[in-house]
Amino acid sequence: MTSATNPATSAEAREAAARFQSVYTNIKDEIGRMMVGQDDVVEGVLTALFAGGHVLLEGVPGLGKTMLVRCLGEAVELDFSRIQFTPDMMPADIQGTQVLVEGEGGGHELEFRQGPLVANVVLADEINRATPKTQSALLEAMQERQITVGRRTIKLADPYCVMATQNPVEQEGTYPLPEAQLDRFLLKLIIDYPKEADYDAILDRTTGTQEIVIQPVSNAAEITELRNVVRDVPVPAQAKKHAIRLVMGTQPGSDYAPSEVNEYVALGASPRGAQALLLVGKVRALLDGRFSVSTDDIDFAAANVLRHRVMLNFHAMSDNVNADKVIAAVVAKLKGSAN
Amino acid sequence: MNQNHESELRERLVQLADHGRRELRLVRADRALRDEAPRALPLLWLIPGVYVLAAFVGHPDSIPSPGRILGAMLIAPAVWLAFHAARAAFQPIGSRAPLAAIDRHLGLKDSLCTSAEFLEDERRSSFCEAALEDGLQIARTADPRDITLERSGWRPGEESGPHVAAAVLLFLLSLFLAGSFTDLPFMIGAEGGSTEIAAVDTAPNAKDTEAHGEEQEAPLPTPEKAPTSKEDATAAKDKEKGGKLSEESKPSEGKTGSGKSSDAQSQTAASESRGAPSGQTPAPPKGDPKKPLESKKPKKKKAAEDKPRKPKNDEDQGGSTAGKGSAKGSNRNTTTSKWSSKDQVTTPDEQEIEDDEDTEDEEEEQENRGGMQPNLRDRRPPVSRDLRIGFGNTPNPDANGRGGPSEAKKSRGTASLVLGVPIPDRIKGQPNPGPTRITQERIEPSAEDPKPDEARAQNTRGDAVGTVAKPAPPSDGASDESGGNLAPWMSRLVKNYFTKRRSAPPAPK
Repeated sequence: MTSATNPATSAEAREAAARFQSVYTNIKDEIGRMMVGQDDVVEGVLTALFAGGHVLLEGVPGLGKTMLVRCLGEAVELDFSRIQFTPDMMPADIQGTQVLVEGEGGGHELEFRQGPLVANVVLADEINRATPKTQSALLEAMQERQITVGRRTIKLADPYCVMATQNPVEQEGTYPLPEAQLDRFLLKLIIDYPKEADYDAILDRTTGTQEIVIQPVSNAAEITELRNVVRDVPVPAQAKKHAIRLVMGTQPGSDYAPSEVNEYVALGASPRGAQALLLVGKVRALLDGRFSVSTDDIDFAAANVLRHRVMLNFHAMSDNVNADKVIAAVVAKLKGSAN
Repeated sequence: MNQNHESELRERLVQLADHGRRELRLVRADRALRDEAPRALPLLWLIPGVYVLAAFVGHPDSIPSPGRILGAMLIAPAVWLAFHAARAAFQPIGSRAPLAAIDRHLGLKDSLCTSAEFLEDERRSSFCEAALEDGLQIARTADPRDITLERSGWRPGEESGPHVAAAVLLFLLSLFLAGSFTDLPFMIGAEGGSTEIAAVDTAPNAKDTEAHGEEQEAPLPTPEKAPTSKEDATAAKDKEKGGKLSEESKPSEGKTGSGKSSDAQSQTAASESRGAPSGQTPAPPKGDPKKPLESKKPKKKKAAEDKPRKPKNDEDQGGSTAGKGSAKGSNRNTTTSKWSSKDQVTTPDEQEIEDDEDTEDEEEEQENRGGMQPNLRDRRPPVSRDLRIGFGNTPNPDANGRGGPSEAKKSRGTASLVLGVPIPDRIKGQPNPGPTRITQERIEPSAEDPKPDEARAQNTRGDAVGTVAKPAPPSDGASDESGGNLAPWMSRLVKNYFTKRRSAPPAPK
């Protein structure tokens, strides 16, 4: 396997891009053997994996969120762990704790037992059911890629990806994620009901005798290598300026904010949103066979990247305006003022 | 990328940029026209308005010739638009903006713009090189002659109508004030080759005025109304015969209502209509031909014919129902009948509404309201509030769920949760055989006046308060040394105590 990091010539760059497309397609096809439909969601999850970010999946129960992440872990041959959050869960339950074990000489000693957070792909199921104390235990892991338990600091292995799910229906007894933690997710993907044509395949695959086994088509090393390829994609000044203006357009009172933002937005996106736009744009450019990010890539990534970073006020709730509409207004205003 | 390819790419990008720059100027000028056109419209009527105002103020001579007025009206907004379009078009445009515009127009995903940027970067990465190679391929295929950027343009909308109308009116007014109304058609320029400006279709021509005058002579034919009553029919006949109406006033005959005021006419019409049953057939509801409407009509008609009608005064009518001619009179009188607690048997016939159309309206109303709602037409006398022992085993006829005595309520309580065990609220037991006597005692509450204690001055006790009544001596004749009921030893103890106290010297102060 040739190294794709830091290609020296354009030919090597083309080869690295082609390899990226190939691995991406293989993983997507393998997941598609079990997962029916939801192509946008699968692409979003893979984009986050290759961009080095975390994903927040939101959807009603029964749409295959857990199965999607499990299939991803099996297809990429990564250590997969699942955490089912409950209101009584403590941070030590997910980080790990020190337990007293009996040593060989008969004495006792403290041994650190790792929690389910120490893995490559972590599925945090129903993260909004956990208390803020437990949710904050994820912050360090997601941002710093390390866990601190007492005096012990554990570095998490690459690639590390947290895929959290939350149920938009059950709001009683839940703890909404704080803005600081929401900002650490690269993408927020909304999983909708499957189409009518997909129901047949879903029922055949899940209620029949046929057992589908997901075969690994990649590994952690390859994923890490391809992440570096993504980082190598250059961003022209125009695309960078467009991403900056897009993020500033979500902030009320800025010059690029449309009237909808000034009326409905309480808190706009932070510079972390611009970082996420560029990373997702790079993945999109590679998948499209290009070697630089364009403004179209930024516009394509705007909704998934900024949806959870824009905080709406009560006016928006009363007028039934969601974040997607606000982001669409920002994109439209930037397009209109292009010439 | 070698040097030849780089130079080729640069040349093509320069060509495309030049072409794009020209297109971009046109696009910006077009956008400026679109944005400034609504602001230039008021100039159409501003200039003739100034002249008209000057004429009213007292300077009628200041109004120039119609040609000059029209020229000024058109030139002013044209100059405004031309200025803004030129300013937008001749703004400095760099090299990246036209390439970006072409990228957007052709859907090239910023390839040309990116190539121009990467060409200037000396330290390019391999990805930049690959991007430049792709950019060269695209630049070779892009032909500037085929590139025409889209222009939206300005179309007069609804907002331009009032401005144009005001301009035309003020122009005509200025002509009128200047006395140039008849000097039409007019020319601009004295010498040959002058252009004619066609008059706007507002100035009336002489031919048109003549035609208009001819039309005015012939009166418009008035539509003849069909005779509604006999008198009108006779009047129409008379008209046909002689063409002259008799000038004698005829006495009023009831139904025509002539000679009465409108109020009186409306009241009499309503009273007359109420007496007669409604002959109107209700229109069938749309999409629901299966409704048994007709079955209801004969029943109501019969009920209306059977019961005697009570003559009512005109004052009892509601103003909204008067004069409408249909028997829609609702029984809105609050003092329909005297009722007592026991005499609440209401005959439904008295409350019924005769008009058949109201049945459908009532059902539609209820549906629109979302279900059964209290209807003013069905108002019943209020529930009796007199207290009594009960109704025995018969249900309370006044029970309507609105408070007061009602029927047996649903059973509640934990025991009622046990399935299959009915636990009624009232246990209807049977008394023992024999006559049952029920007595009632009605006690009127009476107020009591308590006597207040009077406060007295408490003085120190000087004498004994009183004597203790000694009990009767024992019947067996024993000495009465016991001090009454006390035991002998206790009475001796008490006696010795007090004796010693009295004999003891007083305590020093």
